[in-house]
Amino acid sequence: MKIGNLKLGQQLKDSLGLYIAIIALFIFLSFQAEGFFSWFNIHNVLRDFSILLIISCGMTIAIMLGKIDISAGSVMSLSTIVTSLIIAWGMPVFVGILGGLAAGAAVGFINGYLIGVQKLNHFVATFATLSIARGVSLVISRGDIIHARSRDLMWIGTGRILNIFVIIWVGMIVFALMYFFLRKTSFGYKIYSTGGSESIAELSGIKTKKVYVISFMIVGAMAALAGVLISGMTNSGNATVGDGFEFNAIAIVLIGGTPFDGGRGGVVGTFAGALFIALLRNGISMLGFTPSWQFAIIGVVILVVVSMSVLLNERRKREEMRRVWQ
Amino acid sequence: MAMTGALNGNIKKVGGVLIMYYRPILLVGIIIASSAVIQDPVQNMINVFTMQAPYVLIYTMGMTLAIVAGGLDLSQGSVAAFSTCFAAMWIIQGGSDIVTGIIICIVVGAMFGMTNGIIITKAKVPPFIATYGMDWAARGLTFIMMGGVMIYGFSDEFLSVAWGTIFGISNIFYIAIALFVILALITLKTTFGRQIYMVGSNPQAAKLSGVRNDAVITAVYTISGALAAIAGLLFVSRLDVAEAFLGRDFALNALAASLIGGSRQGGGKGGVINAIQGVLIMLFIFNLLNVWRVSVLWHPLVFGIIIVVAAVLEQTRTAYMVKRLS
Repeated sequence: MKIGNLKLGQQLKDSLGLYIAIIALFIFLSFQAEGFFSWFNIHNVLRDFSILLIISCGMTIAIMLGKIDISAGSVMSLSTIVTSLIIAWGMPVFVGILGGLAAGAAVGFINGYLIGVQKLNHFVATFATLSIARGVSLVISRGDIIHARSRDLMWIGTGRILNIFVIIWVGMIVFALMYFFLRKTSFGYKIYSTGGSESIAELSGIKTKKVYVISFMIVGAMAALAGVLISGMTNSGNATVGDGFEFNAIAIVLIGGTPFDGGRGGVVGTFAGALFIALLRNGISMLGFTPSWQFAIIGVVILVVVSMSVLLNERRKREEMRRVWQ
Repeated sequence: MAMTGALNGNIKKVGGVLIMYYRPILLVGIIIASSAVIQDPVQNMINVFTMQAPYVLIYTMGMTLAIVAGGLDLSQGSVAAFSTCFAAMWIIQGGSDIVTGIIICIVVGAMFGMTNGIIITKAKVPPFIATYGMDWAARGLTFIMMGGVMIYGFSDEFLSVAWGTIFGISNIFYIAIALFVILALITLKTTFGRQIYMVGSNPQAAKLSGVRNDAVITAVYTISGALAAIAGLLFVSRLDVAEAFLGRDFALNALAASLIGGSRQGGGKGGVINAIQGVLIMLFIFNLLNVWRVSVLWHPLVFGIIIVVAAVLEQTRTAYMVKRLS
């Protein structure tokens, strides 16, 4: 069978429907929402989008392996705390950022070890590390907000290069690297084949345990990077800032066409998914809905969109089956 | 696996007994440890058994059934909030009598559960996404419905449900025990109960043997929603206030208690008897932390470590049992 869907053009074609939905949503909001169609607002949407994109790129790897990482949100909070704490001690900013990323990678290592080596259920393992990451951030911050008070950290969150937010540049670079990593390196292909069938990958000589551990470390580091950027925006660390992000990220990945079966999909679809969710989040508040409505609307929209994408995936699988049999 | 390998020689027998019955042994150990520190250990135990455990047990049983059927129910907390707030408005503002209010509450909870079941079976959305989306949607609806107010001032008749005692023991204890017995009989003695296990352990085989998988799964989520509503109602009766924030920790507690109790994520193993062990172990560990005056900030960390340890122990126990049988 031809593996056509690994090509960039094919992947863009797969998410064509999503882009139509994004354009429709964009046009609708431009006419309906006051102040939506302005560079100021769209710039903010893109910043929100970049943060969602980074955390979802990590989540794409986890879901491509057929697993979910629900600890991503609290890893994000943990990295804001670690980064702010290190900077507040008077260390240089890059040490703080490295510390935040290392904390994320460490939680990712635990995830990968529990899932890949101990063979625990992925949900149980990441649920436990969710609690552990939240617990560590509460304990080291003593339940308080940590103020970094650093101009350099602030620059990462609110500074601009060529009049575009640094965060957006970071998001684009991470996306490009992730695309390259998954498509052009042998490790990327190892992730695909481990996700497709762990036992076959193992028999083909892939060290699947290593794949799991390294992949989950990347997932953790991605979540941590999103956390570092958030701490740049607020110049502080907060133990609850990342709550709920993991759910957004999972929804983005699913909407983007990476199914739960594993071994399929990629970050190109995730790009479109993140754009859609970022527009939706912004649109709901620009249309003047109160936060309580936002809860309900985002929940319902995600349920509907995910149901649709799951049903479409089922149909595609049936059609492929038919093709194979014929 | 490594731990099973270590159980050789003379210690094999002792280790085998320990690993087979680790849950009761752990429970007794924790109770002894907390009893050693405080002045009135009997009163402490009575408090946990009759005042704390019943609430947690009621909704954990729903979660356990969902886990046995191969899914999980993260929407319990907000379903409880919505159904109790809805019923409270009916009782206070609509002037309906208590029994009607209670029935309305349970029916609303069951309907939310049924919606979960339909989304999971018909739209084929993974249970995690379906119930988490429902969690957001129901919480948002509750916020919209309540508009930031709390409902209080229930009649003495309603409050006596949770405050009343029989033979000096709280009514809640008897309600929880009654529900436990009913559910234990359903799961162990009826056809429907055995079908839950079949669907959970091997959906294809169950379907081929004539089990209506979709109906069974929907029924399980309906029960889970109803149990969440009952637990929420008892909280309202105890606290004399219905508010939109009720039950924020339901899902996490229930999931942790089920996993500690030995219900396997992925389905087919566990049950309400495991739920009762899990609830008691979890509550007594937190009781121990409180007795030792550990700051509440440490709780999530301990929570996470408990889940990892419980999952690894359960895996070792299963491996040991498989080895002994073969």
